[in-house]
Formats: sequence, structure tokens, C-alpha cells
Amino acid sequence: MKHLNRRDFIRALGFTSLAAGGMGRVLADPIHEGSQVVEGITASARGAAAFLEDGKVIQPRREVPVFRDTDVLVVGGGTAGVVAALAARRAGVNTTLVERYGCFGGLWTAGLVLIVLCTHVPGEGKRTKMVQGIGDEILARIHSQKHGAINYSADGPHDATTDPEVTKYVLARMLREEGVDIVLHSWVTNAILDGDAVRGVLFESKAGCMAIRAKVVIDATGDGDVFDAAGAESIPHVHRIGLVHRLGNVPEGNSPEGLNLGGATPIPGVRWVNMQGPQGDCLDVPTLTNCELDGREAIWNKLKQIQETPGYENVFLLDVASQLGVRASRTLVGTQELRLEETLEQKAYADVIGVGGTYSFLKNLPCAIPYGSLVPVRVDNLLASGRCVAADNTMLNYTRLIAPCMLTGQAAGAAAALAVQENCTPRNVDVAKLQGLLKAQGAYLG
Amino acid sequence: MSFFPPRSGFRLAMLVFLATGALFLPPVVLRYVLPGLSPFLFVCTVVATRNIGLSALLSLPMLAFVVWRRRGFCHHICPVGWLVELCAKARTTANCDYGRVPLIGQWAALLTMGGAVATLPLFLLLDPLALFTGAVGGAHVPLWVLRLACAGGLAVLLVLSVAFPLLWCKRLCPLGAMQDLLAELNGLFARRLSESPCESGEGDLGLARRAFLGLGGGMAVSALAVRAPGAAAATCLRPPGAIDDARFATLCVRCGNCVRSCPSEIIRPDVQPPGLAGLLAPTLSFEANYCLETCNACGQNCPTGAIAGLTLAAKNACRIGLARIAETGCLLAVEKECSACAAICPRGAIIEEFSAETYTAMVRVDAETCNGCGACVAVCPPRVISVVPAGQA
Ligand SMILES: Cc1cc2nc3c(=O)[nH]c(=O)nc-3n(C[C@H](O)[C@H](O)[C@H](O)COP(=O)(O)OP(=O)(O)OC[C@H]3O[C@@H](n4cnc5c(N)ncnc54)[C@H](O)[C@@H]3O)c2cc1C
Ligand code: SF4
Repeated sequence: MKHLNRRDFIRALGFTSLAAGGMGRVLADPIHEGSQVVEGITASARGAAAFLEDGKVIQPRREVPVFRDTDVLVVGGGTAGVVAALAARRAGVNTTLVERYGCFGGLWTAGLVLIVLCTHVPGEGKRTKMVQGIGDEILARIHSQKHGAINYSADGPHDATTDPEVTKYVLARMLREEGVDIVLHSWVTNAILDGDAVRGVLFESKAGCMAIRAKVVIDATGDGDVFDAAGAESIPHVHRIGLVHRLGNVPEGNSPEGLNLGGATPIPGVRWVNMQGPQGDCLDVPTLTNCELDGREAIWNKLKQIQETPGYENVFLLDVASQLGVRASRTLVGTQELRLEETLEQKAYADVIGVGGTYSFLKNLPCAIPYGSLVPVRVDNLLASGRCVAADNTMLNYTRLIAPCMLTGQAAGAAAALAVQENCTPRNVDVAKLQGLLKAQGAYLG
Repeated sequence: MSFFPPRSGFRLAMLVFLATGALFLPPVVLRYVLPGLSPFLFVCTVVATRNIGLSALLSLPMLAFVVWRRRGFCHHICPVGWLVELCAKARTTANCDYGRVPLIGQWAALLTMGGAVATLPLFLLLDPLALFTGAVGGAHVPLWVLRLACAGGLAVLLVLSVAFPLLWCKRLCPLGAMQDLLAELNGLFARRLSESPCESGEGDLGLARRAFLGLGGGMAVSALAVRAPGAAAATCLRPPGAIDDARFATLCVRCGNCVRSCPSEIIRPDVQPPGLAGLLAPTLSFEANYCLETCNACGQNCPTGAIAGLTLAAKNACRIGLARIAETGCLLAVEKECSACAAICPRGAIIEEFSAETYTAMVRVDAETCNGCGACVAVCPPRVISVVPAGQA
């Protein structure tokens, strides 16, 4: 057997790019197929181990390595985060997107929440699409894929239902096409503060804890992890925590009495089944653990019931969401709060950054969202987007839905980019310019 | 003969006030003033509800006036009287002597006042001012049935007045009759004071008998009706602060003020009441809106106390009914994203409940905190929430 030198070996495996990216040095010849011993991939960023001092666990003080320097950092690759990253990047600034898991879409995909609510308002005889811009572009691209989406249209069927894998693929494609700097498998744990100004974040990874420095940070974590770390005020909520799943091989037709076979998906015979679940504190680890375990158990119990029903013996469990269905946890205390009364009065916000479709408690009215609901009261260089924006206890049940998350995502991305370009803090962004940019990106502002 | 004085400055002023009021004043002014003028409504409602309201400022002087001047109200104030007079003028030749027609108005007035003592003013809604307010008071969408009914009633009255000029005022109208009764009473006193007992002739004995029979009869009937089993149980949704249902049907004079005053437009004249007594009395519909936490207008606009004039806080403490959720139709029952009702409830009275056994969440109405404001009804996408009268809950 011919002995390869280190370089040849790596090239042979096609790993050149990875090597350049910091794969490290192969130390010795391969021992087993596909497994090599390399030097330098050990987590150099971890720092020294913690130690005990009087029985307390202490972390040693150290300098944290900086993994990236960027203009706009988006934390969280859910609906809001992806749209925010696309909006910022398209506005022409360097944009980094950090996601703790391995795919994009968050609850929309990994959470298997497949129905995109609140895109339209009903009108005379037909519906009018409110959610345009990047969100609608994404939906259109998903729809253009085979088995990508059902019920997607301009003025007819609404509440598009999408396929999670197509969505993950389309989101990743679009991010890569725009040249967004993508960082996966990295869990943001803290903020870097300079007085009241955020200068970046710390994240945990297989390689240890590292820092990303940024001029503006967008919190799209859904739970407000970043604004909470930065000391911005927020309101804690408990909400129902569910675990969504999909069933395969489901016969056509209505569900029999007492069986919940969920809603249709773009794949024939496959249905997605929502779960309400118990109310709980979505930031509490034991709660999340129990909801995950109990939720799975409940799904299997229900499946058994379905399979015992004549005609449904061959229904099988296709998958259970890999992301637990957290509806609401923290919401930002913003410079403005989206309020039910104001929405029902159809208050005209001078700083409107998006208009969403209607929802049950909005009585067929559209919903304008003010920029202030993304801006923390005190902390600078930080914007919220997605389900953690500032809204009252009723309206958070609107802002948390997928289409409104698209709106707040696009607005946060565009505003962050403007702040970088104009060299100001997001709170001082010229609202007229922001609205102009959003319109140029296709958004509908009323 | 002439029943009405040839010219009256008061009457002219009243007509000018009504015309300008209808055109220029906020509708609430006429709503307050018109029924407030009627001494009949005033006396009966104060007795029936044991409560005296702000409208006394208007009603008390009016009462004094009619005691002082027999039929002063008819002659100088009453807009219906004026219409009746116009009709009479069209028939100058007609015979207006109704000496042999029974005193229907007096019996109605006596029975009603007697009933009021037992809290049930039986024929209160015959009051001409209530009828007039119902027919001409400001327009309002949900009100058209009631307006039509009142306008119809007024039209009947006018046709009657053409056929039998002045019959209404002389023999039928309880408001007019009450003034006669007061005047007779006054006369009785005057004579007693002038110490000429032999003069108390047959008429006065008649008055005593009428009063005894009318008031006593009214009291007895009302007392029985109020105590009838189930009479007080609410079978309809009434505006907040409404008196119990047995009394409501008689105390409410169908003037439509509550309907007009409701900014949410949830008060409707009941066209399908469970019993005929409740016909066109206000009932609630939460199809499009609900009873606002910021409003207490209906009670403030009710001339009779059928709906108590409560402060905002007291009104919000009132129970209108109780929300009831038909659980099988609820979206949560099929695990669809909702709980709109819980999100919108201004009192947090809709509670989410989780069953660990079935691993499902449902919404439940907390009967202690729910006041039946109806906010949840219109937001429920499948419309499975209704508000039931408190008595039925
Ligand atoms: C069970 C359930 C049913 C629902 N049903 C519907 C429905 O029918 N229709 C509808 O429109 N909406 C529905 N929703 C709401 C909607 O799905 C979500 O609220 C919405 O998708 C949230 O989008 P987001 O981008 O704000 O947050 P998420 O989708 O939660 O995205 C947050 C992303 O950030 C990542 N992240 C979080 N923290 C960190 C961190 N510290 N570091 C790095 N990455 C992090 C997460 O992994 C995730 O990818 C439902 C929600 C649930 C839970
Ligand atoms: S609004 Fe209607 S469907 Fe929704 S949770 Fe309440 S009762 Fe159920």
C-alpha cells in the first residue's frame, strides 16, 4: 500500500476547503477507513477547566477568542432570523447568522409547525395579501418546488402549508445565494456589553466558547436570549408547550369522530398534527425536559389509538418535531408595545414597519406593526424580531405567528443594516429611510 | 268645546326646543329630557324602583306644575297632545263628548301606580312620551324594529284621534288621567280645608272607590305576578344593571334609549322574546361586539330605572350572564392553534386547562370571574361561545 503524505491524503478525500477552514493537521497515517488522527482540532477555544473554590464552581478569567467580526449579527435561524439576515445582507452589509441547530426555519421547520397564518385579510369576494416582501418571496420559492406548499396564492386560498424539508432547503439556499455568513451548531449564551451598548455575543460550540463582534445584533432567538443577557427589560410569559408530529399513510377523507389526524401537508397521505400541551415556563430546563418526554409519550399513545381504528391500521408516525413547540417565553419591553385596542382602532403608526394579515381576535382587520416594538428601551445596538417582540398579552398571540415573524424579521434586518450604514444606533435610524428601504425590498406598509 | 287652550307660550317653546334639539343638540339631550318630563313615568318608576334619579330635577317641578294646574302638562308641554290637537282641528264638527266612555286612562294609571307599589308598574309603557321618544328619538341601526313599532303605535293613536278627536287625551292616556286624579285629589283637599263637608258629593266617593279598586287591584296583580314561580328568573340577556326579568318587562317603556346609547351596538329590541311580555324589550347580541369595560351609557340613559343608572365600577361588577363554550366545536379540541377567547377576555375569566390523562388543553370559563360581557363571542373562529342569562347558567 502506497504511503500518502498528509497533504495528499487530505486532497484525496476532497477536504481541502475544510483544512483551510481549520481542520488541523493529520498526525499519522490512517488506522481505519474514514477515520484519521489529526492535530489541532481539539477545542482550543475552551479555555482552562473550571475549578472548585470552597465547594463553589468557578470559571477562570480569560480572554475569549473572537470567531468573527461582522456588521450585523443575527442570532437564531428561525423564520424571523432568516428573513432578517436576508434583509440586512440585501441592504449591503456583512451579515452573520448564528443558529444553535443544524437547519433553518426554527419552529416552522424543526418545530413542524407547517401552516403559515396571517398572510391575508378577507375583502369583497377575495382575499388580499398583506405579507409581501422577503417573506412572500420565500413562500413563492417553496411553492415552486415539487410538494413544496399547498394553499399558497395571491388572493384565493391562504394559510399556506409548507413542507418542512423543502422550507429548510429553500431557506439555506437563499442565505447562501445572498452570501450571508452562516454559523451553525453554535448556541449563543451571552452578550458582550459596553455600557448599555451591545458589541456582540458569546456562543458555545463543540470548539468551546467564542465571541462574535458585531455593530448591531438582532435577537431572533424567539426567547429573547440575547436581549435578556444584555439586561434589556422583558416580560416573562407561560404558554402552552406542545410537540408537533407528522403521520404518514393517512387515508383520504375526514377524520373519524374522536381521532385527530391533523391537517393536510403538501405530501399526499402525510398530515401534521399540532399539539397544545401543558402551560409552562419555556425557559425552565426540567419543564422543557418533561414536555419533550411526556409529549412523545402522548404522541405514541394517540398513534396506538389511531392504529386500532379500522381503516387506519397502516398509519405510521413519520416524525416528531426536533424542536420543542415553545409558543411564548420572554417578550421585549419595547419603546412601543403592540396593543390590542390600538390594533382594533386601526391606529396609524408613523413608524409602521409592516402590515400583517388578520387573525381571529382582529375581526378581519389587518395589523400594522410599529418599529418601536422591536427597539429595547435602554440597550443600544440591539433589535428584537420574531415571537419575542414587544406586544401585549393578547397581541403576542399574533406576533408569534409565522407571517408576522417574517415582517418583524425583515424590518429588524433592514433597520440594522441602515444603522450600520448611517453609523447610528438602531433607535436613531431615520424611520422614513427605513420605510423606503423596506418598500424597496417589496414590503407592504399600508 | 275646546280642550286645549288657544295659545300657549310653553307649548311654542317646547316645539321650538324639540325641533332645534332634534337638529342641533346632541341626541342624548332629547333622550334625557323627553321621558324625564313625564310625571306619570316619574311617579311610577320612583315608587316601583324605590329609587330617585337625576331626572327628578326635571320631573319634580313638572309634578308640582300639574298639581297646580289641572292638565297643565297636556295643555302646555305634551308633544303627543299637540299632535292629537292637530288631528282634532281637522274635524271641527265632530262630537267630542265622551261622557259615556269609561275612564280607561284613569284605570290604567291607577292599576299602574298600584302595581308600582308592588314593584311592577303594569301599563307604564302606555306613557305617551315614551312612545314619542321611541318613535322620533335619534336613528340607530339596531333600532329600526322598535322605531317602527313606536311609530306604528303613534300612527294608530293619531288615526284614532282623527276618528274620535281628543278621545286619547280625555279618556285613554294614563298620563293625562293621572293629572285628572291629582286635580281631583287637590280639589278634595281644598274642599276639606274650606270646611264644607256636605259638598263632598258623589264624584269624590267615586274617586275613593276608583282609587281603592285601581290601586288595590294593581297592587294585588303585581304582587302575584312578581311572586309567580320562576317569574324573576332571567330568560333573556339584558343590559348590565337590568332589574329582574319579571319587573323588567313592565318597567321598560320601550323608549329605545339604551339601544341608542350603546356605542357597541349590542343592545337590540327583542323581536323573539320567550314570553310576549318581553316584546321589544332590550336584549343583547354579541355577534359583532361586546359590553365595553369603559361604558355605562345604557343605564345612564334609561328613564325608568329598568336598567339601573350605575357608576362604571358598579356596572362592571354587574353580571350580564355567563359565557358558555360548546367544547366539541372548540379548535383546541382538534389541537388547532387558538385560545383567542382566553387571550381577549378582559377579566382573565377564560382559563386554559390541561389534562395530563389525555394530554390535551381546553379552555374553561371561570363562573366566578366571568360577567358575560361577551368579548369572547365574536373572536371565536368557529363561533362556539355563547353568553347565557345568569339565571340559566
Ligand atoms: C406548537 C405550536 C404551534 C404553532 N402553530 C402555528 C400555526 O399554526 N401557524 C403559525 O403561523 N404559527 C404557529 N405557531 C407559532 C410559530 O410557529 C412560531 O412562533 C414562529 O415560527 C416563531 O418564529 P421565530 O423565528 O420568532 O422563532 P423560532 O422559530 O423559535 O426560531 C428561533 C431560532 O433561534 C434558534 N435559537 C434559539 N435560541 C438560540 C440561541 N441562544 N443561540 C442560537 N440559536 C438560537 C432556534 O434554534 C431557532 O432556530 C405555533 C407555535 C407552536 C409552538
Ligand atoms: S376562541 Fe373558540 S375555538 Fe378558540 S379556544 Fe376559545 S372556544 Fe376554542
